[in-house]
Amino acid sequence: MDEQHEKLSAIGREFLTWLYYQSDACAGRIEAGGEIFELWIDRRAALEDDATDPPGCVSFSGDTFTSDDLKNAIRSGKKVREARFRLEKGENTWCFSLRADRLEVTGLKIDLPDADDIDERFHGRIIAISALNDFIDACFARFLDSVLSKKWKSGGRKEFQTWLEAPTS
Amino acid sequence: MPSNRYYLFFNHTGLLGRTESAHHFMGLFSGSASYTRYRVTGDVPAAVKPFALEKLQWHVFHEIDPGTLTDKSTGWVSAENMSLTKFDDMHFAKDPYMVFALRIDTRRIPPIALKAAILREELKHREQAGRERLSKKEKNDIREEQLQRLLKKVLPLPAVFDVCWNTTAGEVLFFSTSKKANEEFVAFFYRSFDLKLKALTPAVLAAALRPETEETLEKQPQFLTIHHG
Repeated sequence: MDEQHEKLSAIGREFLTWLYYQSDACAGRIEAGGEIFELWIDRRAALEDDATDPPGCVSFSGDTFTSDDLKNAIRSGKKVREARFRLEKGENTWCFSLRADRLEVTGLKIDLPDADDIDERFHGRIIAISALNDFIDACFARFLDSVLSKKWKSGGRKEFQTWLEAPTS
Repeated sequence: MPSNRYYLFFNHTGLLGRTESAHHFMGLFSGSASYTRYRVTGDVPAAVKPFALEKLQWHVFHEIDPGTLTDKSTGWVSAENMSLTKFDDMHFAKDPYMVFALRIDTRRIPPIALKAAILREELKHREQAGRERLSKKEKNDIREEQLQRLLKKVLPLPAVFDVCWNTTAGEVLFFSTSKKANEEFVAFFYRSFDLKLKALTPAVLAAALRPETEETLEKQPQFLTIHHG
């Protein structure tokens, strides 16, 4: 991995780790673009520490892993490389995986009835996809505003540390 | 879940081939979706729809002629039907979006089938010549001959990827996260429209959303540092 790619990956992984922190610390409630969403990690997460050679990786899947497992991995220096999320807003649900390094969305499932008319189907799906992209962008902007603020240095980082060290069970 | 669905079949030559179902499941119209986001850079003409129509017509997909040795064909098709290779109307314009698909057909001889054919021919040549060994040139000629013979028999394997261009936001969604498919898409989009695409990676998105942070992020890309003890 070249230096530039490593740097880009680092920002994406910081973002996904922060997103998980926000979701876990606020019981799934995430504010994005002035609206409240519910966001949970949905049965799959992969974390990696690329400061070690070879990179230390750990993957969780299924129903058996807990928030403590993820926190332990983060405490050991790993960051979220990819995670599957369940996002809800009102009656709308999005299930998707987000890859940190290039912010790619994979396996997106949208809870929409299949319309017979192709244009109707297209517009329904593209509105849902655009809403998800807007959500990701709004969260990413919040992440930047948060970690680059003076407040992060004076208190935000400590709050993150406190959350990380607090047992969940 | 893969974004493409293929069905295995044996073609008339007996060689194993693969083809996609008539309706492709790429995620834009149905099924689960995987996509990469791009920002369009460069001067997009104000009358973008007629501009796109002209470029799509110029770079439309053409089927590989079975009698030729062509092993790859790339071009635009309708997103609604991968066999619809004529852009003679504005069916692809769904304001403010333009929706079409990239189709890449490739013909590839299964390596084991090629090896078997070469070995069989080499054996035949050795018997006919009454020699234990063949020269390097003879071996190369046999390989080339078999390659050409088999290539004509292999059916092209189509791969189709939906493209959704939001002309208001200047953003393009490409419905694949395969590195190779994305590289081919970016190159073909540039060849077709003379417009460059920039993937919306975390660094690019940061520069777009908060341009003033670019320098800081370059210096310090890590914030969630762990303090032990």
